[in-house]
Amino acid sequence: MKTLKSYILGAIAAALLISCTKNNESIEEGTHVSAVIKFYHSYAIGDEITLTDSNNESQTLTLNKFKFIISDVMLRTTDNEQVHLPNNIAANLIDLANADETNKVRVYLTEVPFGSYKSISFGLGVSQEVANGSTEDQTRLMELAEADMQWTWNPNSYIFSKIEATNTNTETTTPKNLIAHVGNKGGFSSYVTIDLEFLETLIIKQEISPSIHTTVDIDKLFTPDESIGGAKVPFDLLGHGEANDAFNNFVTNYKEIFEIGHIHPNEPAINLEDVEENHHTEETTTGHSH
Amino acid sequence: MKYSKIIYILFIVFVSCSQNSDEYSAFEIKFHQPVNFPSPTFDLEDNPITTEGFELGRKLFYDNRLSLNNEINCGECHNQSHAFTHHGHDLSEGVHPGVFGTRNSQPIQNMAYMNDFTWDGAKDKLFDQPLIPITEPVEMDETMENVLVKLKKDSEYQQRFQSVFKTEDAITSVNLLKALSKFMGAMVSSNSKYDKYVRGEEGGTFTEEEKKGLALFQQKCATCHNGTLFTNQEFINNGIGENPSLPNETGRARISSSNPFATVEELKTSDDYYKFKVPSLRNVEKTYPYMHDGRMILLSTVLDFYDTDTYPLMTKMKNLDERLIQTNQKEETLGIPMTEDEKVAIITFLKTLTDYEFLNDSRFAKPE
Ligand code: HEC
Ligand code: HEC
Repeated sequence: MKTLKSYILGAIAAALLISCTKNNESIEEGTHVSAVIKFYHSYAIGDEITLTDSNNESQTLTLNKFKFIISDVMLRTTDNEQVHLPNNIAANLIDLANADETNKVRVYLTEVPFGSYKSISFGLGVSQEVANGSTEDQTRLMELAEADMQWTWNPNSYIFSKIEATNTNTETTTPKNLIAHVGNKGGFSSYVTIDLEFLETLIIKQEISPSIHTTVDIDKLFTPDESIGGAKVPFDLLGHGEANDAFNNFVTNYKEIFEIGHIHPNEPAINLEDVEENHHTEETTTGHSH
Repeated sequence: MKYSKIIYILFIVFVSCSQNSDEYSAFEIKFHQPVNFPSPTFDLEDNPITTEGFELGRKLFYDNRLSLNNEINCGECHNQSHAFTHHGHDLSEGVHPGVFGTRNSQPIQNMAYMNDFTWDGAKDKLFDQPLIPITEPVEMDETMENVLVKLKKDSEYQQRFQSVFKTEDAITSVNLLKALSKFMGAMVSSNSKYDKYVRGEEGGTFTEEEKKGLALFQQKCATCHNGTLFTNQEFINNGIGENPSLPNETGRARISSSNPFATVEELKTSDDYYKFKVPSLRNVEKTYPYMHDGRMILLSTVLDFYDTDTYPLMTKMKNLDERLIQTNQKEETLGIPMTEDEKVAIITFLKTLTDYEFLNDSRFAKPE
């Protein structure tokens, strides 16, 4: 009797194995990339960047780090319907260290319903609502954050964005460096939402993986367009003392650094699995963060 | 689609069958709410506590693979016989020999009722608290990524995670943290002599001295150590004074600052400097040494500290809690006036908070 039982169980296990391989095969057919956002940054890691300090003096710094998390990606159809992409699919870490030779970082959107869209929005960082909400829905965000974007010792553990640059002036003993790590810390809320209109309608369908050219102008974090409400930020006031006006303005300026350009509407369809393989070899992970 | 669902269910059945054959759980865990307790802060909807999930969390809690080079597990610093504290240690050594942390290990009990975690409230959810010990260099100094790699190599973990979380590829950071919380969330200490006294149960008869101690405690200590949990869960400067050998300690100020790079000098000006979470006093007889840095070994020393005259004395920082300042004709006295007899009675009462059922509950122990 016992042997018979285990025989049956064995058969079920075998059936399962077969069904597993079958499943895998269908997955290997690939996850269609609905659209690609190409973030073209104004600098590369290692580039020199000129910023103004609190004495209104220009300083030259070498950019060491620039990265940010996006979440709550939402597309709006031409019929004004909102399509929210779950964070377990669409949240991403954009890290300039992973950019190609044109300072470009690609974000692949998948599982977007076929249709035509007129705008996109995303959060810079992770909203308090998401951080306090379902833990299962944070599976991907938490893994993204583990690569150097986590304050383990803070109630909200997500670091939304980081920028770091070292002053090239080696003569002074106290060079003014740039360091800003942004998140919800000490009652200061830093989450901002970015809304971007497409210049032309974005069509999403099976046969194509269109790409959206987006620029990321890092200078605008410090010298935004003042005519539309941005305020200048002396870089050396960040990372010192409690959240001050400079920090506040800096966080708000994130809204201005993105600009959508043209869309390549007819790029041939690609699979996420193919592009992720390439991506993994480029990836670098760093250790502890502060 | 339907077909593969059925197969999947069969698979779950199969997994649980095979598991039961080599490891049969002789108990059932579900979240038990004691009648004299407040409602839990633990999000049972997001993370339900089941026997199987509890057992997975327990296995992880006692698994050295959560640390660098597989050196130590959570139980190293959270030992059941001492209400899950590090018995006899003021500070704890982590995976690196001779390298100590800066805080006294806290009891893991009644976590499901707390609003904030660790001495300074670095976390406001139990769920992601273990990120701290797993990654801190002075504790387990490991990365979550490495831990997951190690666990994924173990087919038993693969099965158990899958079975608890009902998804494929279930070994993720979120699920690891959830499992640890299922274990810790179920660790409720609610059967001390005091609880039985309050609930009018057998074994809950107080002596005269214990009754006297309770009354004094309510009058002198329960302004902060109040309610069923014996903490108002506030962050308070109780006059403990700086520890010269731990110059980087700033207490709650580090958390309430908006600047992650704030220096100790900057944090000294904060109103939260040297504030710590009021600890629960349940099982306090067993959780020595005391205070955030474990500087006091005996309960009698703690009471000497709290009174107005005996050494050690209170330190007055500008944010010393006013409940600890007595003003008499413009003359300030620091501390709580208590006679020697009263202090003895309070200690006698504190010992009724020892919960032997909790300390000896084999469900919480490392399975052999
Ligand atoms: C090296 C010793 C050590 C190890 C190992 C350790 N802890 Fe701790 N634990 C501590 C100390 C010390 C504190 C107090 C931390 C503080 O206030 O900064 C603490 C605090 C906690 C708390 C907060 C309790 C409260 O009342 O707020 C929890 C929960 C906890 N630890 C769980 C764990 C888990 C889970 C693990 C294993 C993943 C673990 N600990 C491993 C020493 C340790
Ligand atoms: C004004 C609030 C307040 C009052 C009143 C108060 N305490 Fe405390 N107690 C605290 C705080 C805050 C801590 C933690 C301080 C630290 O760790 O540095 C603490 C720590 C303790 C500890 C150490 C517990 C541990 O696990 O390390 C004991 C024991 C204690 N108190 C007993 C008492 C007794 C007995 C009384 C009454 C005589 C009392 N307390 C009155 C705020 C208070």
